[in-house]
Amino acid sequence: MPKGEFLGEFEIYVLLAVKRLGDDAYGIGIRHAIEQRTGRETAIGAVYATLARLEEKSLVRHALSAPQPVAGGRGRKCYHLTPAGERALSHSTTMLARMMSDAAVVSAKGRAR
Amino acid sequence: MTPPRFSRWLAAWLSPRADRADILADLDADFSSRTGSDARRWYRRQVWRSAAPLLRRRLHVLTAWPRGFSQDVTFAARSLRAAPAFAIGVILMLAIGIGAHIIVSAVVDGVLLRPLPFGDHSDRLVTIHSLHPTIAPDWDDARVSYPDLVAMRHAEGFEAVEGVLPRNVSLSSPEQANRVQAASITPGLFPMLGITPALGRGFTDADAALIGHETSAIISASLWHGMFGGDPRIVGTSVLMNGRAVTIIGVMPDHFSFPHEQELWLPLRADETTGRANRAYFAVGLLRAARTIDQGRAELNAIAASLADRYPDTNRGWSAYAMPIRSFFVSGKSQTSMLGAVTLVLIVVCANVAGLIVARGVGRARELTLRAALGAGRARLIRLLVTETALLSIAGGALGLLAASWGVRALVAWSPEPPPYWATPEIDLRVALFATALTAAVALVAGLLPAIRISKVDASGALLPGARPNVGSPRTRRLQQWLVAGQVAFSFALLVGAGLLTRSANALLTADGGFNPAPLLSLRFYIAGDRYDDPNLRGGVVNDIVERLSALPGVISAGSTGSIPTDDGGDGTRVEDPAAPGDATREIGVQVTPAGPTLFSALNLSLIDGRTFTAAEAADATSDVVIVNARLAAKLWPGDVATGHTLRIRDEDTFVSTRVVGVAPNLVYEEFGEETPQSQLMVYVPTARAGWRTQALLLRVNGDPASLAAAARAEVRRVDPGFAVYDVMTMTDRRGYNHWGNRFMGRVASDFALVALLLAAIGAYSIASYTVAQRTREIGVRLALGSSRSRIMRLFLGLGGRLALWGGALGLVLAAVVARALAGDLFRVSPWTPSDWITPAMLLILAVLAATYLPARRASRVDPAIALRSE
Repeated sequence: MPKGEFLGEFEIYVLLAVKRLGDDAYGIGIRHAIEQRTGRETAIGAVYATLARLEEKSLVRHALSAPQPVAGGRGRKCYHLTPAGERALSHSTTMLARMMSDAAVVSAKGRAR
Repeated sequence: MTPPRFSRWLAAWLSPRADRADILADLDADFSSRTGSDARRWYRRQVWRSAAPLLRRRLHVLTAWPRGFSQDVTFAARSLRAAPAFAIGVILMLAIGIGAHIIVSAVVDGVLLRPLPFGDHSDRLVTIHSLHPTIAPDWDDARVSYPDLVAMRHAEGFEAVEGVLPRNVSLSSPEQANRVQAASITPGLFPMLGITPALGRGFTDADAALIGHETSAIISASLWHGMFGGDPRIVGTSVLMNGRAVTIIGVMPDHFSFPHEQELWLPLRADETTGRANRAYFAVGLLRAARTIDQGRAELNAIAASLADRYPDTNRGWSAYAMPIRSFFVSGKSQTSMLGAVTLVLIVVCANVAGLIVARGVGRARELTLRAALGAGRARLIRLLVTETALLSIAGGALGLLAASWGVRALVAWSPEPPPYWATPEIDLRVALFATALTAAVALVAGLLPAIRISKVDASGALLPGARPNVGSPRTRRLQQWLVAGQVAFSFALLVGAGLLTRSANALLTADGGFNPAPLLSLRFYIAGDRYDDPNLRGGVVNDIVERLSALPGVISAGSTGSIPTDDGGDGTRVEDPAAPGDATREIGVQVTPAGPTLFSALNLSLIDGRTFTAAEAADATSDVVIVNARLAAKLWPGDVATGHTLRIRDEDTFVSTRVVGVAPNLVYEEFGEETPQSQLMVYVPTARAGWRTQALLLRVNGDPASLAAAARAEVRRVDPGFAVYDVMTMTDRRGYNHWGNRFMGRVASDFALVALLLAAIGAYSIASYTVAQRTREIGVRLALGSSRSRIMRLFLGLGGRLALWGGALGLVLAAVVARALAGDLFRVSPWTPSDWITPAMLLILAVLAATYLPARRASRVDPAIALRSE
């Protein structure tokens, strides 16, 4: 990742969700993971758009899963972090933690935005 | 329960293709886990809130294109630098194709598309012509008589009908005298055209005068700048026109001229003696706003019919015709067909460039497969290849535009009949924009098709030595072969035509006019002024001038005549056949030309028989002596001496009897190539008897004839400062100048033929290259089975030979058509001389074989082991 380019907040959420879900990191699972933890409804388009952007930056990669066992079932995109993605995520979260400890600001609700 | 239809459609439309199915499936999955109206609300909300991020993403993908662009350009430039011969060849071809197209487009734009300069009623201006069924309509000559023109003014459908009588005048100021193209115009002409003088005023009816009695004149801006130095106080000053004072009352705006290249206008009032048979007036009319040209024509014809009834002697059989003024000046037909021709050339160029790119793709198979193996998608490969062509096209287009801007200027400067000033072609913004669009189209056509074809590589075969791209089916190859054969045929016909034109031009330059042109200086002057109304005085003043010129140092001999030999002829008239006196049907057409006493000595010729004119005869309008040329003498008095016989020359309704005093050697007076049987039968009459105001002088000099030009000019003006000397040229230069057009045509045709030959050779090269590429495996098999390398070589040279043969056969037919068409315009050259056909044929065969040699050699060097492994 080029110097001076930070991950956006939503990008961090998506990366964290991909990391947590491991082999089950499909689009719908990622969205549900984010919705559960932030308590907010998340637009499906936002998730896919962000995944595409992260993939373009080589922070995530996808592999097609085996087709689902139904008629006309397709393989689905399963995402995982690349080493660069791992590095970018740990960098961003470390920076975030450092910034928060300095300011001692912790949001009571922890809501996004 | 189904999801809301519009939202689902919107979601599908917004989603990128790669994720569309996943997104819709996700939505459906969550939707089915919900119930009732809540589910539909949720669905709508989801789609609505997804719109912004998805749209942003799409925009991002779109704007990401140019990001790879600079990379593509770098790659393309690097790959072209590695193949400079290919790049230069393609750029030159494109420059020729695009340049030629731009030149013709500029001409078409000027002639057909640019608005006329005559204000908002330009489209209602028509030229009016009198037509007779027995006279072929040459519009410039189909003019109207003045009384008929006045009658046409009664046509209700016309706001105005005005007349123009083009003429040449001699204009002199105290410093100089010039021959000027002028026109007498009815005073209403300029107001009807909607053009007012930039300085001074236009003509009024009060200015109108009989020809020769004008007191006012309007000059063009070019004459104002050229002869009068742009003097701002020019209006109101007086100049001598044909020896009489006229006042300049106005100066027209820059560039204006009408109807052709006139520089001076005089107010016309027709003489009542101007007859209805004198159809000399160029008529222009302005249709009323609501009238169509057909209505105008019908009305004019009704008038013509009533005139024919009232004046049957002069008007029977004559009808009237009107045509839009633009059509009169430029037909547009030849320009449109030229546009078709250059478009065809451009298509051939595109086909050749595409062929070359495919041929080059053969050599790049490994590079392209490697790129594909390293992850370049097909679209990316196409983009790269098209970028290469785009770079070449931009270079070719820029070069073509540059060449065209020069070419258009040259075209205007060298045009034998310059177009009217408002139709002068130029590369303006519009044409430049068109050129840009043309270049883009060429890049797309010549780049995209071959790119689509050769980018079809199989990435899995990347590193195999025999990897080769798809170069088309046998069917498309056959089509391309015919295309190349067609080019061969075309260039053969052009080569034959160019050879004929060049030989004809050389024949014109070296033809013998019956005298040695090398030591001669020639010039003309006009005897202006009322005091020379007496023809005897005209003869006297010419004698005087010739005498003074003879005395100039360096001049061996000087002589006068009416027109310059090998440049223009004399007056056509008829003489009585002495064998059939009184029989009008057996009269013989001859050319009558004035001659001074020393004409033949100036030409370094002596008479065959008899004597030349005396100075006294030359200055006597009543002298009845003539000299005939040998050809006329032999025709009229075969086997007899012509001298002493009486020659009866027709003068309108009567005959004038003259005495033949001498027989002159045959001279060519008419321009070479324009001689007629009549122009070869000459009668020379003494200067005063002929009475011409226009005189030609010939000076035979020691050394360079050009060195005496200034002295000769000054000497004529010393006799009378009102005499405008013009057209001063050495005889040798005059020959070159007269036949400049023929030489130019020969040169242009030769250049075109060579370009066509080059294109055909390039076409042959590219088709041979990819045939070799396609048959690599077959070549390998043949070699493995024991075929010799020279046999393989012959096999592919045979392909070139076949192309030359087919093309040549087709070319023979085409060339025969060209030769037939040219035959009438050739000067002393037979179009069916075998050497004119054999040389181009040899040249063509050599070129095609040379072009196929390289690919054939490549074929003969195929390694059978590698070729066979590739499959």
